[in-house]
Amino acid sequence: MTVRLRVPAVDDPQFVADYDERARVLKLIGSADNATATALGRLFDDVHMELSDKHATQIVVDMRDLDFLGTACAKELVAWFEKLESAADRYAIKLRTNPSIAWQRTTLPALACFDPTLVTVET
Amino acid sequence: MELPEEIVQQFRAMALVRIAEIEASWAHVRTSLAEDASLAIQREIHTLKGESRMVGLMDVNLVCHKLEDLIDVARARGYAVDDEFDLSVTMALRFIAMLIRRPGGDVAGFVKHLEAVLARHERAGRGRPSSGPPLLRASSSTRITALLRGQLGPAAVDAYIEYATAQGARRDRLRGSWHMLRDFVGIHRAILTAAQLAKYKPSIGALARDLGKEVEVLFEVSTAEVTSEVLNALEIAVLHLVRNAVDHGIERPAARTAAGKKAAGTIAIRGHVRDGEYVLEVADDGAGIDFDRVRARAIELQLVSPTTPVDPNHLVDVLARPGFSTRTEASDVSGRGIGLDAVRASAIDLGGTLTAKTDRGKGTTWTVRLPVPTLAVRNLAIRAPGLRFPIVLDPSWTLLDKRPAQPLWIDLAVGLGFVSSNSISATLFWFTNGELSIGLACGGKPSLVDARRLVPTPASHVAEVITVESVEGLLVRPERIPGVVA
Repeated sequence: MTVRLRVPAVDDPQFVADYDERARVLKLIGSADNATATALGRLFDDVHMELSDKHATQIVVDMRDLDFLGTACAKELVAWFEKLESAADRYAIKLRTNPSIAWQRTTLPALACFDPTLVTVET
Repeated sequence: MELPEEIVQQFRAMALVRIAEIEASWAHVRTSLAEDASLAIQREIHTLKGESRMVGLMDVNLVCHKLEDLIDVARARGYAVDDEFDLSVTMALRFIAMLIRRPGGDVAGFVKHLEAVLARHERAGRGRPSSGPPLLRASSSTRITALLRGQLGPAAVDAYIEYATAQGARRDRLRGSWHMLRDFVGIHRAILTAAQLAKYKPSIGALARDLGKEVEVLFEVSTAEVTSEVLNALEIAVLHLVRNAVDHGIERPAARTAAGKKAAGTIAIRGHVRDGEYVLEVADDGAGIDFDRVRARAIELQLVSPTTPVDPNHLVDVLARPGFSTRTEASDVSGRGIGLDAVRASAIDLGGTLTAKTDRGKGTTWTVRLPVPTLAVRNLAIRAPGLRFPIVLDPSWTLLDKRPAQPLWIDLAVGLGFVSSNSISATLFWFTNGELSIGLACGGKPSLVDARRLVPTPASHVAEVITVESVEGLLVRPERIPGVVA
C-alpha cells in the first residue's frame, strides 16, 4: 500500500511525501518549507506508529529528490528521532541522501549524530 | 564534582526553557533583525553554557561554545545567513536539547560538523567582533516588560473584578481571561535561600582547577521573600560574576604568592535585603580591573574618545556592554563580553543596577541592586455587602472608634463599579487616612489580616488584587473611588 501525502504548494515547487508501507520507504520530494512542517510532523507520527505496531526493524527515508528542508521540518525530523529513542520497539532510520545537493552533503550527516545506533546516512 | 540531583533536574528544566526562548529569538532575528532578540540569543546561550559547565554537563557546554561561534558569525553578517547555516543552528539547538534530556549521541561528530560549517563561512566576524563597536542595546526597549506590566496591572484588576462578581457561565468564561492576565502580570513569589545561590559552589572549585587556580568561596546570603524574576536575575548574576571572578579576577597561585597573597583566592558572595532592595555583592581578592586595558580597548572600539578623561564609573559601564571584552580570543569560560551584559540586562529589566568597585592588586566587588517589591500587606480586612471576596483597605487607612465630624459614606460595591445586593446585614464603621474620613458598611467588625500582593497597581489606581490565606481579593484605596475627593 502506498500512502501519499500531498501538501498544497505554498511555494513553487511543491512538496510531496510518499510512503511505501510494504517497502518501508518514505520519499520526500521537492521543497519542504516551513509551511509544510505541521503536515510533515503528522506524517512522521503516523509512520512511527505504523512501524511500531508492525515491529518493523528499519525504514528508509529517501531524500534524494528533496531540494530544500526548512528548519521547522528539520525539527520535526529530529522530533521523530526523539520519539524513537523512547519507544519500546525501536527501528533503524536510514537517510538516503543526494551528495550532489550541497546542503544535503554538508548538513544531513549531522543528523546521524543524534543517535548513530538508530540513524544512519547513506549516499 | 557531585551536585545534588535536584539541582541538575532544576537545570534541565530551565535549560529546556532557555532553548525554546533561543529558538524563538533565532526565528525572530532572522526575519526582523531585532536587536533585542539578537542580544537575548547571546545571553541565553552564554548562560546556558555557564550553567551546563557548573552542573558538569560538559557535552552541553562544548556544543554551546560552538553554537556561540556560529551566532557570532551570523550576527557579524546581520543574520543574512544561508539555509545550510540556518539549519545547522536549528540542529545545534535540538542537539543541545537532546543532550540536556539524556547523555548520548555522537557529540564529537556533531561538533566536527559545526566546525565545518564555520570553516565554510567567512571568518570575518568570528569570535568577539573587533572591527566595530559592540552591539549597543536600545535603552527604551529594556524596560518594556516593566512598562507593560505597569500598564496591564489596572486592566488585570478590572478583569478580576468582572470575574469575581460574575455568576454562572459568565463567571466560568471570565475565569480563563483573568487567570491568563494574572499569570502574565501577577507577582510570582519566591523564597530566596542561601542554598539557591550557593548551588554551584561545588563546581566553582572545579572550574578554578581547570584554569590552574585555587579558590575559596564564601556565602553569606540572607533568606528573603522576593519575586521569581528577582530570584532568576540573582541566579544569573551569581553564575556570571563568579565565573568572571574565577577567570579574570583571581590570579594563579604563583602570581598571588609573588604579590604577597595567599595562594588560594577568595570569592565572597553576600546577599541581603536593604531599604527595599536586594543587594548582592560578589567580591574577589584578585588582581582588580585593569582600567588602562579597558580604556585602550574602549578607544579601539570607538566607545570613548582618546581625549576623554578616565572615569572609572563610565569604564565599568563600558565593561558591561554587550560584546565588550578585553580578551582577543573567546575561551569556553569567557571572553565574548556576554556575561556581564547578561547580569546588567537582567538587573536593568527589573529596575536595578550593576556597579563595581575595584582596587588594583587587591580585588573587585561587583554589586547588583534589585528593587524588591513589598509583597506583604498587613491591614484591615472588611466584608463588604454583596461581595464574596475579601477586601483589605490600603495600609494608609485606619479604623476610627467614633463617628468623625464630617464623614463621607461610601458603598464600596457601587464605588468599585458593580451593584450591591445588600445580601448581608451591615454595620457602619468609620475609617480615616489622615486627610479623609469615610464610613463603610461592613458585614462584621474589620479585622487585621496579612495579605500578599498579587497584581500590583500604581498608588493612583483604585484597587489591586491581593491574596488573603491564598484566597484572592482586593486591596482598595477608597480615596481613589470616583467621586470621593479628599
